[in-house]
Amino acid sequence: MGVWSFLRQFMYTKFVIVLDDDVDARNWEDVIWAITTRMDPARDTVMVENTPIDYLDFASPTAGWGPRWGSTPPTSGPARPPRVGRADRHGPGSQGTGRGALGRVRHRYRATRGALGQGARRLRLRFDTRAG
Amino acid sequence: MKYHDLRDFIAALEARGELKRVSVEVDPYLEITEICDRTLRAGGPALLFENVKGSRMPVLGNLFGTPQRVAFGMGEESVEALREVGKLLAFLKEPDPPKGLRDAWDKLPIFKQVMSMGPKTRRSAPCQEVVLEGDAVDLDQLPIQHCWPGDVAPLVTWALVVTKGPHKTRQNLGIYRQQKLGRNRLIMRWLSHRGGALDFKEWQAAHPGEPFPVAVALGADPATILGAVTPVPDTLSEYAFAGLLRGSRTELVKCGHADLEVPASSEIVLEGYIYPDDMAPEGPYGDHTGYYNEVEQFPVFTVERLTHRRDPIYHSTYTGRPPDEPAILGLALNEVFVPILRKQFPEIVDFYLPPEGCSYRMAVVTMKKQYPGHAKRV
Ligand SMILES: Cc1cc2nc3c(=O)[nH]c(=O)nc-3n(C[C@H](O)[C@H](O)[C@H](O)COP(=O)(O)O)c2cc1C
Repeated sequence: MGVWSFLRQFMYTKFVIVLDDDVDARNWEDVIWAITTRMDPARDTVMVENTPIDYLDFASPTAGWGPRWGSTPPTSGPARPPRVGRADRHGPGSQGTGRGALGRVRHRYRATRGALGQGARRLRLRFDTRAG
Repeated sequence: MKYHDLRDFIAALEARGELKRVSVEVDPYLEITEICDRTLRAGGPALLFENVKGSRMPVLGNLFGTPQRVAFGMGEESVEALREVGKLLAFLKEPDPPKGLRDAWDKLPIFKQVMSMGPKTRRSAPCQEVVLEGDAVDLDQLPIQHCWPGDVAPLVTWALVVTKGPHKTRQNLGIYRQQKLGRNRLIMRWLSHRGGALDFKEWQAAHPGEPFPVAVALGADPATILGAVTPVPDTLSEYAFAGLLRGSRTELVKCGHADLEVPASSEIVLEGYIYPDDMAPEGPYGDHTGYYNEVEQFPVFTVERLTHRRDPIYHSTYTGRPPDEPAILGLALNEVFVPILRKQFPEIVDFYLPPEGCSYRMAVVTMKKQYPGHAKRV
């Protein structure tokens, strides 16, 4: 919640993925691997509704408002299996403590068809990047 | 290395092989976008198009097309060094109370630096070497880029828009794209939460029926440009922040029409008003998400005076599916954010806004989790 409220520009961040510090946040291969091996979507997701939404977001059903969906971190989830073939700072020793935290995904999600009902207006034109 | 104006920066980049001149004729209709897009994706240099169809002015494109060039523009040598800029901003956002006398003494230089970095106003300036007023104002003389095939009209893209709210002394600087409507009319497309839009709204409430003065600078020194895209604390003006980056005060000059100031070294300055109830449908334009926006109403900026340096350079960009130039700026600014976030949440190890996610729609955070439920707080 802090990241969302801290800086004005992060108000429009519709997914926040929180991972352990042994994951390289800048490496998709690492991130996707951690999400798929450490996270339970039903349990680890927090969804926040009716937050301000990006005016430019084509996925929002209404202009200006949209729900946000996220995920709770497992506080007592099953132990994370040890990483294969890589140094793991948490080490197998941390497995039983429940601290082998799974990631969390938050995701602002479409929900209520809003009162404005402007969804139909949203164009979805792909760019033709080959100009001319 | 600190740069006094855009030309200094161009010369320094050229000396490092980070800028290439293009002397063959290029068309601002689609061609410049295509060339810049390919160059950016290849990690290539900034481009100075010297022979642009339909205009006598050269076009500067892909200026901040690599994070490295953004770092140069901020006066740093490497992308990693941008964290120092973030530390400074984190401090300015929330100065720690000094822990005793000794600490207060240590912090003094930062405060002194900040206090001494207010902009200074000059009486005459290079950006006013040539002054065109009234009927002499002709936006057709500028090589305004028409970026994508589905765009409705040429678009001014790297415009530094200067506004001031009726109850404020601080001038706001933001980059808002402008659709060309005619010889002296542009549509000011500031999203409703932007500083410029808020100043305008306050003006309308305080001075109903009166025109709202606006100034637009095209092509300024890199610290000023980057100051305008960095979210600086509201207590600090973008001009003062640019002074901190540059290590010398930002030099400004008064506009002819209002109590607004523009960077003295700007290449081109547009001065004018938004008249009451002058609105027009804007777009469609391709934007940074990779889609065309729908048409929306925005206020019209009427240009009454155009001033420029001798032999002005027109600074331009385009927005498109990432990576585009704003996405690269986002990547570099990411390094500035990390220290700011870590100051608030020390458990955060890294923070990353992938450019593929339009630079702000997805955040990946890694943290040291210290207790159950900790991640929720972050
Ligand atoms: C090349 C470029 C183009 C931009 N175009 C727009 C735009 O058309 N409308 C807008 O509201 N913001 C646009 N932005 C974003 C704002 O300029 C940016 O968020 C700035 O920090 C806003 O300043 P403010 O908070 O003082 O309004 C653009 C940014 C860049 C770098």
